[in-house]
Amino acid sequence: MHPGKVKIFLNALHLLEDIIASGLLMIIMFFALYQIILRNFLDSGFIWGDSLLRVLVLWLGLVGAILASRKGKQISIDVLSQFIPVPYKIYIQKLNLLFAAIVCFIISYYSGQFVYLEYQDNTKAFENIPAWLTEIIIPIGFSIMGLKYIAQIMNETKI
Amino acid sequence: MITVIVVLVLIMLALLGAPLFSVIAAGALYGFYIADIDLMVIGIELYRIAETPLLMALPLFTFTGYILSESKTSQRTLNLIQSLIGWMPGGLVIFAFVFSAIFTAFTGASGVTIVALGALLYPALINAGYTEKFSLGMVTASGSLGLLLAPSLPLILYGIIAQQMDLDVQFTISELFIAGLLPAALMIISLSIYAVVKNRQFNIETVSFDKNKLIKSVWEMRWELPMPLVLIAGIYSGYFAISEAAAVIAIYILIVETLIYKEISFSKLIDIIRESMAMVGSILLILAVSLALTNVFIDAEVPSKLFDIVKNNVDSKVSFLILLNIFLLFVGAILDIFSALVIIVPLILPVAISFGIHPVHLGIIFLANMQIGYMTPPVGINLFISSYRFKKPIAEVYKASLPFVIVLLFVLVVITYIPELSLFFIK
Repeated sequence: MHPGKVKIFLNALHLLEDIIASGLLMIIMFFALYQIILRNFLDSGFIWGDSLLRVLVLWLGLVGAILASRKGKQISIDVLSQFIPVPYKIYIQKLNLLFAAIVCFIISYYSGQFVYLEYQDNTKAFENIPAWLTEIIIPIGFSIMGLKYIAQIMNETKI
Repeated sequence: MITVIVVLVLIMLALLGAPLFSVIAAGALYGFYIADIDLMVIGIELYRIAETPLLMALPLFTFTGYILSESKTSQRTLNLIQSLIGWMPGGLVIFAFVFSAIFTAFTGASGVTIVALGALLYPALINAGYTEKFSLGMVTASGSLGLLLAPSLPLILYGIIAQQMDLDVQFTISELFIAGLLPAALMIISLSIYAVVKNRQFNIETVSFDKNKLIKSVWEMRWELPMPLVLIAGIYSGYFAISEAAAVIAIYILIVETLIYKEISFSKLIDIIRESMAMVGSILLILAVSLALTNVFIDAEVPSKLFDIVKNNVDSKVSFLILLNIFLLFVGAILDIFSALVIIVPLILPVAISFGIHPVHLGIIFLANMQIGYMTPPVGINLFISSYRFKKPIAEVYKASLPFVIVLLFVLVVITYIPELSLFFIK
């Protein structure tokens, strides 16, 4: 793909990530509040409420991880790179990104198999929600992260 | 042999700055591969993170912390400190320690205290007559004070990791929260005593107490001051769980800062969500993959082998604790706190328990060590943040904070060898 098109695609993706992250966070906050009110004042509530909230947090976490893969926001130890001469830094950077991308694709592939198995077995997460639907964010999330690392390798000419 | 090479390559990649989650995940995948386990298991392992009851507290408290650090809470806090202390010798420093600790607990000990509150405190301290060196050290030290107080992120994270480990000795997160109170108070008291003794010979300005000024600054902060009370009241009254308290506080602070103080615009809010959720995502990611790696370790019986090695060389609980402190100070100096928590806790927790150390006490020891690690080279993050924020050479910051580090080391020894300080309410 042309580098310019990569940029347009990334910008659109970033906007989408912002919207989804904000939406999930607000849903989690207000649904939790709703649960508290139902339980303490109306003596009712959803039995599956906690399960739903945990799945939403998993989704938010993975969307957050995608956000973090934007520009070196992932937690890293990085104590050696300060000793590497500047001209070589870009190669180290690309090597790191390539490694991360490969790991992401491997996780995506195998977790995808797991999700497919759950789909075939028709496992339920809670109530009538199929488990594969709650888990699907794992292969999708890691694919997107991997693709973003690849895009960064293509885009990055300087640090 | 191949395993040794793989491990060395992975460590090398980590040190060169590859995203930590990818290094840990690669280690876990390799472990499953050599144990002949279908790699599909990585999906199950990652999904396991969603079964942690406490998990929801993580994004919500992080979000709250980011909002607080982006609004003018730090200015209001300083006003309150200054109006509280005028009459009292050393008062400015003592209240600065107390409020820095609370501020840090809510903003997650990510250096925000130095940038937001410290930046205002520093000139205020110098104006009041404290030396530059003392003020610099004090602001740097207060950046990680409060790590042991609820709801600091590392404290919650320790609870999550321990909960996932299926330990023989169980504890609740509330117990962990209470456990930090006395040790944190001891740190604040010791630092305050040092500060007052140290500054006896200087001419520190004291002003007469102004009731109106105090009322004004309390009034300005009237919306934010109830926040710690909501947390404490909510949790101990049983109206809501800690994760729900996190939701209540997040919504409350969101409304207060955007609609009442009007300090956070809509576009700013989106920025805050993006930044804070990226932080949460990267923590959750390494948490999830390191839980997978922990299982690889358990399958390979690494903790029990580690325990055998330690047991053969260490004969008493006391000498184990001494070694533990030295090791953790070293870890704190080279790893950031989140990496240290996810990598080290699963390894040492089972060993510590078999030496008869309560998991809650271990958590407090661990975090107290990490707190000091924030101020020790080479990667003491507070040193860098202070150096950057106050435009001082790193060596100068280090010299300035050294006396504070020594005081904290003394407190660390007390916390480590008097478990009752952390456990008085459990027994």
